[in-house]
Amino acid sequence: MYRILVVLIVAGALYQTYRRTRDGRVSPVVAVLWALFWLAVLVFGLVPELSNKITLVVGIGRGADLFFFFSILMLLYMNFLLLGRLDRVKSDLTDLTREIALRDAGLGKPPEDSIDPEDK
Amino acid sequence: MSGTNDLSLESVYVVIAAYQESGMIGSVVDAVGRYIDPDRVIVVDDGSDDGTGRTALVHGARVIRHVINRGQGAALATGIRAASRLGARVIVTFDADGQHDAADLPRICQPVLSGRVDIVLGTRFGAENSSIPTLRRLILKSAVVFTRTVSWIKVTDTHNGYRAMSRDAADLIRIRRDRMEHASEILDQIKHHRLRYEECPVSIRYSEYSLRKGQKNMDAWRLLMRILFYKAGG
Repeated sequence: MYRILVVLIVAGALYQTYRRTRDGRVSPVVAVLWALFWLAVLVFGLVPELSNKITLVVGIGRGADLFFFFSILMLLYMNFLLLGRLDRVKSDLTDLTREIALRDAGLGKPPEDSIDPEDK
Repeated sequence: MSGTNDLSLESVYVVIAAYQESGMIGSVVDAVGRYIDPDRVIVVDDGSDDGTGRTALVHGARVIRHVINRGQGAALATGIRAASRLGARVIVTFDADGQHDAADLPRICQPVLSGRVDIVLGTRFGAENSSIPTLRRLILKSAVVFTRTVSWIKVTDTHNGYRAMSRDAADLIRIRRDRMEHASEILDQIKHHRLRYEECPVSIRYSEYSLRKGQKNMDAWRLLMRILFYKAGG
Protein backbone atom coordinates (compact mmCIF):
# COMPACT_ATOMS: atom_id res chain seq x y z
CA MET A 1 0.00 0.00 0.00
CA TYR A 2 2.79 2.41 1.02
CA ARG A 3 4.73 1.68 -2.17
CA ILE A 4 1.68 2.28 -4.36
CA LEU A 5 1.18 5.66 -2.67
CA VAL A 6 4.82 6.65 -3.32
CA VAL A 7 4.51 5.66 -7.00
CA LEU A 8 1.27 7.65 -7.40
CA ILE A 9 2.67 10.77 -5.71
CA VAL A 10 5.89 10.68 -7.75
CA ALA A 11 4.01 10.01 -10.99
CA GLY A 12 1.71 12.99 -10.29
CA ALA A 13 4.64 15.24 -9.42
CA LEU A 14 6.59 14.24 -12.53
CA TYR A 15 3.54 14.86 -14.72
CA GLN A 16 3.11 18.32 -13.16
CA THR A 17 6.80 19.08 -13.77
CA TYR A 18 6.42 17.99 -17.38
CA ARG A 19 3.32 20.15 -17.92
CA ARG A 20 4.90 23.22 -16.31
CA THR A 21 8.02 22.79 -18.45
CA ARG A 22 5.98 22.32 -21.62
CA ASP A 23 4.02 25.50 -20.83
CA GLY A 24 7.24 27.43 -20.25
CA ARG A 25 6.51 28.08 -16.58
CA VAL A 26 9.60 26.18 -15.44
CA SER A 27 13.01 26.30 -17.12
CA PRO A 28 14.41 22.99 -18.43
CA VAL A 29 17.30 23.11 -15.91
CA VAL A 30 14.89 23.46 -12.98
CA ALA A 31 12.68 20.75 -14.48
CA VAL A 32 15.60 18.32 -14.64
CA LEU A 33 16.48 19.08 -11.00
CA TRP A 34 12.88 18.50 -9.95
CA ALA A 35 12.72 15.28 -11.96
CA LEU A 36 15.92 14.03 -10.28
CA PHE A 37 14.50 14.93 -6.89
CA TRP A 38 11.25 13.03 -7.50
CA LEU A 39 13.07 10.05 -8.99
CA ALA A 40 15.22 9.94 -5.84
CA VAL A 41 12.04 9.99 -3.76
CA LEU A 42 10.73 7.09 -5.87
CA VAL A 43 13.91 5.03 -5.53
CA PHE A 44 14.30 5.61 -1.79
CA GLY A 45 10.56 5.10 -1.27
CA LEU A 46 10.57 1.73 -3.03
CA VAL A 47 13.98 0.57 -1.75
CA PRO A 48 14.40 2.20 1.70
CA GLU A 49 17.39 0.02 2.58
CA LEU A 50 19.30 1.59 -0.34
CA SER A 51 19.52 4.85 1.56
CA ASN A 52 21.19 3.08 4.50
CA LYS A 53 23.83 1.68 2.14
CA ILE A 54 24.52 5.16 0.71
CA THR A 55 24.80 6.65 4.21
CA LEU A 56 27.64 4.26 4.93
CA VAL A 57 29.50 5.65 1.89
CA VAL A 58 28.69 9.36 2.53
CA GLY A 59 29.10 9.15 6.30
CA ILE A 60 25.70 10.47 7.34
CA GLY A 61 24.11 8.53 10.24
CA ARG A 62 20.75 7.30 8.92
CA GLY A 63 19.06 7.00 5.54
CA ALA A 64 16.33 9.41 6.57
CA ASP A 65 18.96 12.02 7.54
CA LEU A 66 20.53 11.70 4.09
CA PHE A 67 17.14 12.34 2.50
CA PHE A 68 16.57 15.45 4.62
CA PHE A 69 20.10 16.66 4.00
CA PHE A 70 19.69 16.60 0.22
CA SER A 71 16.14 17.95 0.46
CA ILE A 72 17.36 21.01 2.34
CA LEU A 73 20.18 21.52 -0.19
CA MET A 74 17.64 21.27 -3.02
CA LEU A 75 15.24 23.70 -1.34
CA LEU A 76 18.04 26.22 -0.73
CA TYR A 77 19.03 26.02 -4.38
CA MET A 78 15.42 26.44 -5.50
CA ASN A 79 15.08 29.43 -3.17
CA PHE A 80 18.18 30.96 -4.70
CA LEU A 81 16.79 30.51 -8.22
CA LEU A 82 13.44 31.98 -7.19
CA LEU A 83 15.08 35.05 -5.62
CA GLY A 84 16.97 35.67 -8.84
CA ARG A 85 13.82 35.32 -10.91
CA LEU A 86 11.88 37.58 -8.54
CA ASP A 87 14.58 40.23 -8.85
CA ARG A 88 14.36 40.03 -12.64
CA VAL A 89 10.57 40.37 -12.58
CA LYS A 90 10.83 43.41 -10.28
CA SER A 91 13.38 44.97 -12.59
CA ASP A 92 11.13 44.39 -15.63
CA LEU A 93 8.20 45.88 -13.74
CA THR A 94 10.22 49.01 -12.98
CA ASP A 95 11.35 49.33 -16.62
CA LEU A 96 7.75 49.01 -17.75
CA THR A 97 6.50 51.55 -15.20
CA ARG A 98 9.24 53.96 -16.28
CA GLU A 99 8.49 53.56 -19.96
CA ILE A 100 4.77 54.22 -19.39
CA ALA A 101 5.58 57.27 -17.24
CA LEU A 102 7.94 58.74 -19.83
CA ARG A 103 5.54 58.10 -22.70
CA ASP A 104 2.66 59.68 -20.79
CA ALA A 105 4.88 62.73 -20.28
CA GLY A 106 5.65 62.88 -24.01
CA LEU A 107 9.24 61.81 -23.41
CA GLY A 108 9.07 58.24 -24.66
CA LYS A 109 11.34 56.96 -27.37
CA PRO A 110 10.00 55.91 -30.76
CA PRO A 111 8.76 52.27 -30.69
CA GLU A 112 11.76 50.88 -32.56
CA ASP A 113 14.15 52.37 -29.98
CA SER A 114 12.06 51.66 -26.94
CA ILE A 115 14.07 48.68 -25.69
CA ASP A 116 17.19 50.14 -24.21
CA PRO A 117 19.93 47.46 -24.27
CA GLU A 118 21.58 49.23 -21.34
CA ASP A 119 18.56 48.30 -19.23
CA LYS A 120 18.95 44.62 -19.86
CA MET B 1 33.83 65.36 -19.89
CA SER B 2 33.82 69.03 -20.55
CA GLY B 3 32.06 72.05 -19.22
CA THR B 4 31.50 75.53 -20.54
CA ASN B 5 31.88 78.87 -18.86
CA ASP B 6 28.12 79.34 -18.46
CA LEU B 7 27.62 79.12 -14.70
CA SER B 8 23.97 80.19 -14.71
CA LEU B 9 21.31 77.71 -13.62
CA GLU B 10 19.46 77.98 -16.95
CA SER B 11 20.30 74.44 -18.03
CA VAL B 12 19.87 72.89 -14.60
CA TYR B 13 17.00 70.46 -13.98
CA VAL B 14 15.98 69.38 -10.48
CA VAL B 15 14.55 65.88 -10.04
CA ILE B 16 12.36 65.20 -7.00
CA ALA B 17 11.09 61.69 -6.27
CA ALA B 18 7.87 62.01 -4.28
CA TYR B 19 5.62 59.47 -2.64
CA GLN B 20 2.63 60.57 -0.54
CA GLU B 21 4.08 64.09 -0.12
CA SER B 22 1.02 66.20 -0.87
CA GLY B 23 1.53 68.14 2.37
CA MET B 24 5.07 69.24 1.54
CA ILE B 25 5.65 68.99 -2.23
CA GLY B 26 4.05 72.37 -3.02
CA SER B 27 6.40 74.32 -0.76
CA VAL B 28 9.40 72.29 -1.99
CA VAL B 29 8.57 73.10 -5.64
CA ASP B 30 8.07 76.77 -4.70
CA ALA B 31 11.43 76.85 -2.91
CA VAL B 32 13.30 75.33 -5.86
CA GLY B 33 11.28 77.51 -8.24
CA ARG B 34 12.91 80.59 -6.73
CA TYR B 35 16.19 79.48 -8.31
CA ILE B 36 15.15 77.79 -11.56
CA ASP B 37 12.10 77.87 -13.80
CA PRO B 38 9.51 75.51 -12.18
CA ASP B 39 9.13 73.87 -15.61
CA ARG B 40 12.61 72.48 -15.02
CA VAL B 41 11.57 70.99 -11.69
CA ILE B 42 10.70 67.37 -12.47
CA VAL B 43 8.56 65.74 -9.81
CA VAL B 44 8.28 61.99 -10.22
CA ASP B 45 5.08 61.02 -8.44
CA ASP B 46 5.89 57.45 -7.45
CA GLY B 47 2.36 56.06 -7.43
CA SER B 48 0.97 58.31 -4.69
CA ASP B 49 -2.76 58.31 -4.03
CA ASP B 50 -2.88 61.49 -1.94
CA GLY B 51 -2.73 64.03 -4.79
CA THR B 52 1.05 64.57 -4.66
CA GLY B 53 1.31 64.83 -8.46
CA ARG B 54 -1.65 67.18 -8.78
CA THR B 55 -0.25 69.48 -6.06
CA ALA B 56 3.16 69.59 -7.75
CA LEU B 57 1.48 70.38 -11.07
CA VAL B 58 -0.52 73.24 -9.52
CA HIS B 59 2.76 74.70 -8.24
CA GLY B 60 4.18 74.66 -11.77
CA ALA B 61 6.40 71.56 -11.72
CA ARG B 62 6.67 69.12 -14.60
CA VAL B 63 5.10 65.94 -13.25
CA ILE B 64 5.91 62.42 -14.38
CA ARG B 65 3.79 59.72 -12.84
CA HIS B 66 4.62 56.12 -12.01
CA VAL B 67 1.36 54.19 -12.16
CA ILE B 68 2.54 52.01 -9.27
CA ASN B 69 5.02 52.65 -6.47
CA ARG B 70 8.52 51.45 -7.42
CA GLY B 71 10.70 53.13 -4.79
CA GLN B 72 12.89 56.20 -4.56
CA GLY B 73 15.76 54.79 -6.63
CA ALA B 74 13.42 53.86 -9.48
CA ALA B 75 11.67 57.25 -9.36
CA LEU B 76 14.97 59.14 -9.42
CA ALA B 77 16.16 57.07 -12.38
CA THR B 78 12.96 57.96 -14.25
CA GLY B 79 13.38 61.66 -13.44
CA ILE B 80 17.04 61.67 -14.41
CA ARG B 81 16.25 60.02 -17.74
CA ALA B 82 13.50 62.57 -18.37
CA ALA B 83 15.85 65.46 -17.57
CA SER B 84 18.47 64.02 -19.89
CA ARG B 85 15.93 63.72 -22.73
CA LEU B 86 14.83 67.31 -22.08
CA GLY B 87 18.40 68.48 -22.68
CA ALA B 88 19.58 69.19 -19.14
CA ARG B 89 23.23 70.10 -18.76
CA VAL B 90 23.21 69.53 -15.03
CA ILE B 91 20.76 67.31 -13.14
CA VAL B 92 20.17 67.77 -9.42
CA THR B 93 18.45 65.23 -7.17
CA PHE B 94 16.50 66.79 -4.33
CA ASP B 95 14.38 65.32 -1.50
CA ALA B 96 10.62 65.85 -1.41
CA ASP B 97 10.22 66.04 2.35
CA GLY B 98 11.59 69.56 2.83
CA GLN B 99 14.94 68.45 4.31
CA HIS B 100 17.03 70.15 1.63
CA ASP B 101 17.59 73.86 1.27
CA ALA B 102 17.11 75.21 -2.27
CA ALA B 103 19.51 78.04 -1.36
CA ASP B 104 22.34 75.48 -1.70
CA LEU B 105 21.48 74.92 -5.39
CA PRO B 106 23.91 77.44 -6.94
CA ARG B 107 26.77 76.17 -4.75
CA ILE B 108 26.16 72.46 -5.46
CA CYS B 109 25.81 73.05 -9.22
CA GLN B 110 28.78 75.35 -9.69
CA PRO B 111 31.58 72.72 -9.74
CA VAL B 112 29.68 70.73 -12.41
CA LEU B 113 28.73 73.79 -14.45
CA SER B 114 32.35 74.91 -14.49
CA GLY B 115 33.42 71.44 -15.67
CA ARG B 116 35.67 70.90 -12.66
CA VAL B 117 33.93 67.67 -11.65
CA ASP B 118 31.28 65.30 -13.06
CA ILE B 119 29.26 64.96 -9.89
CA VAL B 120 28.87 66.83 -6.60
CA LEU B 121 27.62 64.96 -3.55
CA GLY B 122 25.93 66.87 -0.78
CA THR B 123 27.21 66.24 2.72
CA ARG B 124 25.48 67.21 5.93
CA PHE B 125 28.78 67.07 7.78
CA GLY B 126 30.69 70.29 7.33
CA ALA B 127 27.68 72.57 7.24
CA GLU B 128 25.92 74.00 10.27
CA ASN B 129 23.72 71.00 10.95
CA SER B 130 23.75 70.83 14.72
CA SER B 131 20.18 69.56 14.68
CA ILE B 132 21.18 66.07 13.45
CA PRO B 133 19.79 63.73 16.12
CA THR B 134 22.57 61.88 17.94
CA LEU B 135 21.40 58.37 16.98
CA ARG B 136 20.97 59.44 13.34
CA ARG B 137 24.49 60.93 13.38
CA LEU B 138 25.88 57.66 14.74
CA ILE B 139 24.11 55.55 12.10
CA LEU B 140 25.25 57.87 9.29
CA LYS B 141 28.85 57.76 10.49
CA SER B 142 28.69 53.95 10.65
CA ALA B 143 27.35 53.93 7.08
CA VAL B 144 30.37 56.02 6.01
CA VAL B 145 32.78 53.48 7.54
CA PHE B 146 30.84 50.63 5.88
CA THR B 147 30.86 52.34 2.47
CA ARG B 148 34.56 53.14 2.67
CA THR B 149 35.21 49.50 3.46
CA VAL B 150 33.08 47.87 0.76
CA SER B 151 33.00 50.53 -1.98
CA TRP B 152 36.45 52.05 -1.55
CA ILE B 153 35.16 55.55 -2.07
CA LYS B 154 36.03 58.38 0.27
CA VAL B 155 32.92 60.34 1.21
CA THR B 156 31.70 61.80 4.49
CA ASP B 157 27.97 61.27 3.94
CA THR B 158 26.80 58.20 2.05
CA HIS B 159 23.03 58.66 2.07
CA ASN B 160 22.51 62.29 1.21
CA GLY B 161 20.03 62.69 -1.63
CA TYR B 162 21.27 66.15 -2.62
CA ARG B 163 23.51 65.66 -5.68
CA ALA B 164 24.35 67.49 -8.87
CA MET B 165 25.65 65.64 -11.92
CA SER B 166 26.49 66.45 -15.49
CA ARG B 167 24.29 64.90 -18.15
CA ASP B 168 27.22 62.79 -19.35
CA ALA B 169 27.65 61.41 -15.84
CA ALA B 170 23.89 60.87 -15.48
CA ASP B 171 23.85 58.90 -18.74
CA LEU B 172 26.66 56.68 -17.45
CA ILE B 173 25.13 56.03 -14.04
CA ARG B 174 22.51 53.30 -14.26
CA ILE B 175 20.38 53.05 -11.13
CA ARG B 176 19.13 49.46 -10.99
CA ARG B 177 18.23 49.24 -7.31
CA ASP B 178 14.71 50.49 -6.88
CA ARG B 179 14.80 51.46 -3.24
CA MET B 180 17.21 53.18 -0.88
CA GLU B 181 20.22 51.07 -1.95
CA HIS B 182 20.50 53.34 -4.99
CA ALA B 183 22.62 55.75 -2.90
CA SER B 184 25.33 53.10 -2.48
CA GLU B 185 24.92 52.05 -6.10
CA ILE B 186 25.59 55.61 -7.30
CA LEU B 187 28.80 55.71 -5.24
CA ASP B 188 29.89 52.38 -6.74
CA GLN B 189 29.29 53.67 -10.24
CA ILE B 190 31.20 56.87 -9.57
CA LYS B 191 34.12 54.64 -8.68
CA HIS B 192 33.53 52.24 -11.57
CA HIS B 193 33.28 54.95 -14.26
CA ARG B 194 36.08 56.94 -12.62
CA LEU B 195 33.91 60.04 -12.45
CA ARG B 196 35.41 63.15 -10.93
CA TYR B 197 33.53 64.01 -7.79
CA GLU B 198 33.64 66.28 -4.79
CA GLU B 199 31.49 66.90 -1.77
CA CYS B 200 29.66 70.08 -0.95
CA PRO B 201 28.34 70.91 2.54
CA VAL B 202 24.57 71.34 2.44
CA SER B 203 22.02 72.22 5.08
CA ILE B 204 19.65 69.52 6.23
CA ARG B 205 16.54 70.53 8.14
CA TYR B 206 15.34 67.82 10.50
CA SER B 207 11.75 68.76 11.09
CA GLU B 208 9.18 66.60 12.84
CA TYR B 209 7.66 66.01 9.38
CA SER B 210 10.92 64.92 7.70
CA LEU B 211 11.81 62.58 10.56
CA ARG B 212 8.34 61.05 10.36
CA LYS B 213 8.34 60.77 6.55
CA GLY B 214 12.00 59.97 5.90
CA GLN B 215 14.17 57.01 6.72
CA LYS B 216 13.64 55.57 10.17
CA ASN B 217 16.71 54.71 12.20
CA MET B 218 15.57 51.09 12.25
CA ASP B 219 15.53 51.10 8.42
CA ALA B 220 19.33 51.23 8.55
CA TRP B 221 19.51 47.53 9.39
CA ARG B 222 17.19 46.54 6.54
CA LEU B 223 19.13 48.82 4.19
CA LEU B 224 22.41 47.22 5.26
CA MET B 225 21.01 43.77 4.44
CA ARG B 226 19.81 44.97 1.02
CA ILE B 227 23.19 46.54 0.24
CA LEU B 228 24.98 43.33 1.24
CA PHE B 229 22.62 41.35 -1.00
CA TYR B 230 23.21 43.76 -3.87
CA LYS B 231 26.99 43.61 -3.31
CA ALA B 232 26.79 39.83 -3.42
CA GLY B 233 25.34 40.14 -6.91
CA GLY B 234 21.74 39.44 -5.96
